[in-house]
Amino acid sequence: MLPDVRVQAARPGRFAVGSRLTTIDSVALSQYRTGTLTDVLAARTPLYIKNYGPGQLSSITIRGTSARHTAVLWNGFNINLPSLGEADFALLPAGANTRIDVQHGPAGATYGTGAVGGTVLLSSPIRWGMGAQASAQLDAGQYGLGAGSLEGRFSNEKVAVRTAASYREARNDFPYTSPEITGLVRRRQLNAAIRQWSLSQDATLRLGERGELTAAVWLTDADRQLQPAIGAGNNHARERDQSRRLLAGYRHVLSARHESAVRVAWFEDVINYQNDNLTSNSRVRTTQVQAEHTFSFNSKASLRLGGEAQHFAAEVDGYGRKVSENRFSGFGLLRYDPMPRLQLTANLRQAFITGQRPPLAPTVGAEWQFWQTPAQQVSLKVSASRSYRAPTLNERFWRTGDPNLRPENGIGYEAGLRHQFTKNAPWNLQTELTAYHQLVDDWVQWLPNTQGAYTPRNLRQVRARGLEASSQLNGHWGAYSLAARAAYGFTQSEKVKGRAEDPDPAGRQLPYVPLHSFAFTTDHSWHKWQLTTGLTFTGYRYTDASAVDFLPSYTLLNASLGRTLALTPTWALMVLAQGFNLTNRNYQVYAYRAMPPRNAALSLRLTWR
Amino acid sequence: MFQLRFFRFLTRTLQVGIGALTLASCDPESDGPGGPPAPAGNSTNVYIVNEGQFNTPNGAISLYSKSSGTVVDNNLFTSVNGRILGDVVQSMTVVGSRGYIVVNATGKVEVVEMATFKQVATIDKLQQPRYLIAINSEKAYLTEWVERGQPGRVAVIDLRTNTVTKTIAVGRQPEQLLLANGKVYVTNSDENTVSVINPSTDMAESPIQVQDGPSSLVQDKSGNIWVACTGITRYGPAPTFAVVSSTNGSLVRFNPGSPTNQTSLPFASGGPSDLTTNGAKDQLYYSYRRGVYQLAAGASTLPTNPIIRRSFYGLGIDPKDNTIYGSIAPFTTTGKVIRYQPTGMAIDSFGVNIGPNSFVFY
Repeated sequence: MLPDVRVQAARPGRFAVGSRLTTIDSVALSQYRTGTLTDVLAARTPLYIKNYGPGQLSSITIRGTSARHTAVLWNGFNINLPSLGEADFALLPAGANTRIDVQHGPAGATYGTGAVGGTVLLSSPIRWGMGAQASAQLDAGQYGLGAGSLEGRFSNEKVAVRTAASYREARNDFPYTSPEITGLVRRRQLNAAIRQWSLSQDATLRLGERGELTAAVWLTDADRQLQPAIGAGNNHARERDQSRRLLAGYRHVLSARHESAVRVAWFEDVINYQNDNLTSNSRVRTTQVQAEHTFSFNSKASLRLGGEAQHFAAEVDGYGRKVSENRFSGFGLLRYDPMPRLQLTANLRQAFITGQRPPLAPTVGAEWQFWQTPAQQVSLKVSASRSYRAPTLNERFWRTGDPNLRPENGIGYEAGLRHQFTKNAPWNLQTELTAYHQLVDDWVQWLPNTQGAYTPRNLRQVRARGLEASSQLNGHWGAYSLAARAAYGFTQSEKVKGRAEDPDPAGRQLPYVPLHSFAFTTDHSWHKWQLTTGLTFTGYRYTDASAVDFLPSYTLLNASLGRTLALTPTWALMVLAQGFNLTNRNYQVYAYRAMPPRNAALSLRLTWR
Repeated sequence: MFQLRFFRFLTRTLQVGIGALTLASCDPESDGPGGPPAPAGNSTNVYIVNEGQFNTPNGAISLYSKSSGTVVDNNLFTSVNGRILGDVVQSMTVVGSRGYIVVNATGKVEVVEMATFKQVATIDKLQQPRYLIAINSEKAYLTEWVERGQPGRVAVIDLRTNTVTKTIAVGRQPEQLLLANGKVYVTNSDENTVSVINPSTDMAESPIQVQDGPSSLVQDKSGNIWVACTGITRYGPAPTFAVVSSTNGSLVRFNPGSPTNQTSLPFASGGPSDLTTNGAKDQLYYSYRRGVYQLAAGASTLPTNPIIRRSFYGLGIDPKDNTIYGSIAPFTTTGKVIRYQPTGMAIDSFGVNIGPNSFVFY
């Protein structure tokens, strides 16, 4: 028996009571180990990932906001590019981490800047005492797809290490049809090849009974040609994206009531762009530290107090000079469970940025299991939160930027019901329905000023509201097991107020926010067979602010079928055939960017232990 | 047995699911291929050239009918021909009964029948084409930038076959052209020269030196050529694109018979653009800073006050009644056109497509 103090570090979700969480665990992630987060989230959730082509720039939209309004956290640190204030999900290989949590909705107090539409949390939770495991995978597919991954893990009760490496390249010279004067002309995509790799290394060491030392490294590197639009000229654009992320942390359990943690991290993000006419290079280094102390008053209440400091040093061509910025924030997170069936949280964060002060951001949430029978439980969830987004380095320091830009801020509310059905039978069903409403003020837009130069301004108020419904079934029947999940999103997002100089009309659905989206995934396994299907529907999306032009809705079907061959008791080989866009749908995610037709890939995975 | 049943269940679920989704998709109504537009060729139509967003092939032609006072179609080429027009629609010229739409970033000219706007031909493999003028009913000249910083060229187009028959080297970034007194004048906007071409031999003659940044030009009633020189501002090669040097613009006037004998009207800062004339060609109009200015063809000084205090992305004068058309182009959203009396008094406005930059009255 381990001493009681050896508790797992509380997940940040502990203080996010009342909000909606979508979790993609290691089992689901393992099917995408040579893919990227774009592939995972686009295939398994109704979230819209605006994608300029396979492997190209992919930006997320959660709850009707833009990519800048989604905070992406890796082991608690925000990894959005400080210059752009958003993450390119095509640069984040899926195999680098073992768990993805998507928290929907605003959570400024819990996750800081950018957690307006939602937060994506990447982590690799430790499982102690698992021994050694290793796997290697090779993929080959159409249009020059070649990929490989290696993963090795070891853990006993004192030490846990994990190494994951992946490589992916694709020519992406897939055919598409281009309407021309002679009719539909079949062309091959040009200038869309990609090559990328990732290496991540996590290590955790228990120091005695009370201490835990963690170190993590994540390196990503992508060299991409940038896919031109159908009917546009090819200016041979390409981009090199490199990120180096180092992290170290120490957690100390002083007693059953007190626990402290401190973490430091250093990131370097490089974006080098070039085309026939210009080159634009950028390098931002971020040094940051987080410290927190958690008081557990009793089994019902705990309080976490902490702070964060960040220093950004940017060498970006567009700024014309070296730029640095400091940001600080302090937070308090309170969790109180007055009754076993009632959980409450109240969180608060105040950020400080050189020269400006974002609003005080509180969050309150409650979850109440108000009805239950032996087989069924129904809970009510409510939460209200203020969110904020500090201006990005580009918005403040670009030659035409505005150092005095105000932070955006939002107020959001949501309420939901969760139903859980757990029959004695070997299956359970979880259903959740959420309604939300959020107003984001001082929304930033780049517009030409009187001299014609594009400059960012706090121009408008945007209202996003909608419904999210999901249902998940898990079951085992003898050798057969099934996990099926259906999720639907209704998202209405529009500008409601704007300053006079803002030309975009009010009252129209924002571009690239589908009103309806739906995802249905199934994962089956039977003896040595496994089958996965993913069906997604994406409703029409307007492509301009006047809501005139739109991209038609589309339904995509992907599936994979695998068979495990046990070679020895410790070695196993799995053959996996994957099919994408099985109905051969001609669709576009971003206007005029061609997407591949039906295509296939074959994977071989060797696992040990 | 169970497997079989389950898979049957699964396939059925999927079928029903896909079917339901297809039914529920309810996309907005899309404009299908349309019929012939409003009667063309009797000076009642205005065709608005909408550039579209850069790197995005959503350029479009809007058709405004003066007789009904309405926008008949905001994407005429696509409505009629069922395909996209292209990336950065730069200009449109009518020659005889056909329209020639120059699509800059896609590097092509789309040829349409003006009466129906039906496609006739695509002249492609052009490099950054800008403006086209007709020499006669069988031949046209088209300026091409080719590549930034490099000499541009004029493509000679056989209008019978819609093919490029030869090219003529000119200066850097050639913009508008003018056929006057049997010669073609080509503004080299990244220099201070106007190239001169003899259209009967397709040979370049000695260029005329003007001021920095010639980009638009007209011939007035008395035969003088006016060149709007915008000045040249040079930027650094990479972001921040800092200003390296900057010269001011001027209006330059000369008689084609004695091109070196020039009158130059300099601007204190910046320079004029979109130089155009009224129907009688005795009044000139141009955009400068935040206004539209009017100048008599015989004037020897620049006007001090604008007739319209507003800056336009595109400026046009209806030669029939001298109505002034100015366009607003926000690019994140669709633009609009405001119409003015020749005196500068606003008449009305109408919405067009993204990035309206010029007008064709036909």
